[in-house]
Amino acid sequence: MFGMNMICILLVLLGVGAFLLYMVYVQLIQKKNKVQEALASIDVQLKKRHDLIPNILAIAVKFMEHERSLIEDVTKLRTEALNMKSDFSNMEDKIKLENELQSKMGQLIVSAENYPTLKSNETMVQAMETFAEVEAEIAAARRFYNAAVLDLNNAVEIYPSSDFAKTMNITALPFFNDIVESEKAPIDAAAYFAK
Amino acid sequence: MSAITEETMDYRKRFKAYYYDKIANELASFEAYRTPQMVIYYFYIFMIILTIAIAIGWVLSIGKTMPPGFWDRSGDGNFIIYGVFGICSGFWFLANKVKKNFEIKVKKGVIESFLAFFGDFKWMPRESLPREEIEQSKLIGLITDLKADDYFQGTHKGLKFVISEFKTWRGRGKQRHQTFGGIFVKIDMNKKIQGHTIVTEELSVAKQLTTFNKFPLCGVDSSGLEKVELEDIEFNKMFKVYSTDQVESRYILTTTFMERLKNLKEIYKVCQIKASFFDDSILIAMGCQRDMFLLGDLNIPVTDTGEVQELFDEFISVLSLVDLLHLDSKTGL
Repeated sequence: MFGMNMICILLVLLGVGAFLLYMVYVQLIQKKNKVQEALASIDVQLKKRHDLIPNILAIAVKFMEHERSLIEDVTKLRTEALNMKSDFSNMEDKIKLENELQSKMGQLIVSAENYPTLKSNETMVQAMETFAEVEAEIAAARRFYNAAVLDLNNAVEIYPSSDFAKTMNITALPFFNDIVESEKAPIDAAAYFAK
Repeated sequence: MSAITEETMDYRKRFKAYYYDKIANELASFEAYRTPQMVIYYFYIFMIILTIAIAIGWVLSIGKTMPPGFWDRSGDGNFIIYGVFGICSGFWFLANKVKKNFEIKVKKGVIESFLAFFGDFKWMPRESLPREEIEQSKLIGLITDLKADDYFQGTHKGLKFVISEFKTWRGRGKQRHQTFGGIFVKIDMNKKIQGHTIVTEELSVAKQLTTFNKFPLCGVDSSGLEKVELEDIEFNKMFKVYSTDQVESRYILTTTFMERLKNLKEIYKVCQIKASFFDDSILIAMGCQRDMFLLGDLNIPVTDTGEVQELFDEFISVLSLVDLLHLDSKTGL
């Protein structure tokens, strides 16, 4: 009788243990899928950005003769971004490329301030407003992605889900930061006032 | 409640001049009407007291001589009690009617001039936002009964603005309980919203159990919505967020906007605050434990500036939501 009870208790404990492990596995898959969903959301917003850039450049190139190299940089980066596949394996490169593109577009918009005719062009104003909206949406998608990645990274690095992650080949992913290396450099105010 | 800004102080100075120019004379015309109404009101109150006094006197003097069982639950004494209760209720109803009628009369007479100071606002008594819209906001769930009070509609800083004061109940009979009492403010958003996001206060157990918040069971209807965890830890302690779209909720609730919502809560401490973003507009529910936008108290001379001052403060506090949340600027949120 005592033996039967012990066996029953052991079986229940094993069952509970197996169930808990299964829940860990399920949560890990859910977190991975969440990151996939977030990545897809970012791609939707990035596509809007990529589609908008040619419209802005088409107007800018008529007025900003002295910014040819900047316009060419933006065009080149956009083409690279369009050709880059979106999956976990090249996240770091993708993030770096999109950040560079965002930085160059930022420089272009700032440079547009030096061209009053361009600044007052109605189409350009509309395009800039739309671009600002798109950037806000990208920022929101990025925050969602970072939240999902944080969850996943925690699961990948903390035991016992870390063991499951190793078995299933799920690794920690990089965050989508919005600061590029060049922007980290300290700003020389004197240089600005000297212009 | 008040949100004092420099603009508000400026508004106050201008309103003071406007009051003496346009409103004071209109109000003074009601003073002659107030006194007889006040007499009628206190007459009814006196009748209530008299009825109770007579009933108590009768019980004390003759009530003891009644036959046994008279005062039992099924005894004849119950008719006396019901009768007294009925008479008192009737007088109470009449007294409140006099009070309410006076309030409506004064408001009808003066509110247009009052609102003209703020632009194109209109006042509609006993109106509210459509019940379907309130339920659609998911801020207070299903509504069985709705009692509308004040309703203001107009534009402020180029935005369509609606203020609706009402109370709602859910359930019938013993299940009936109040689910909301306060104002809903509807303002056009400066961003396109396709999904549905709601922000509700995170109530501590202590707050739910105190009389400070009468609606502990009135949570938002989060069915069909996902919980959203944002980066601001302090914000997450104060508010819960649910949305149909994780990205759009973050598009609306930027770090700046979260700060503004926290400030809003600091200013309107006494009110429970919830917000719903859908259909390109924001609906803010402020559950305050008192009747707002009162004007025409029978007990206060209508020429007393205190009442109008309070009405002004309440109105400007609500309008300042636009400034507090920067809803009038394109990049505000």
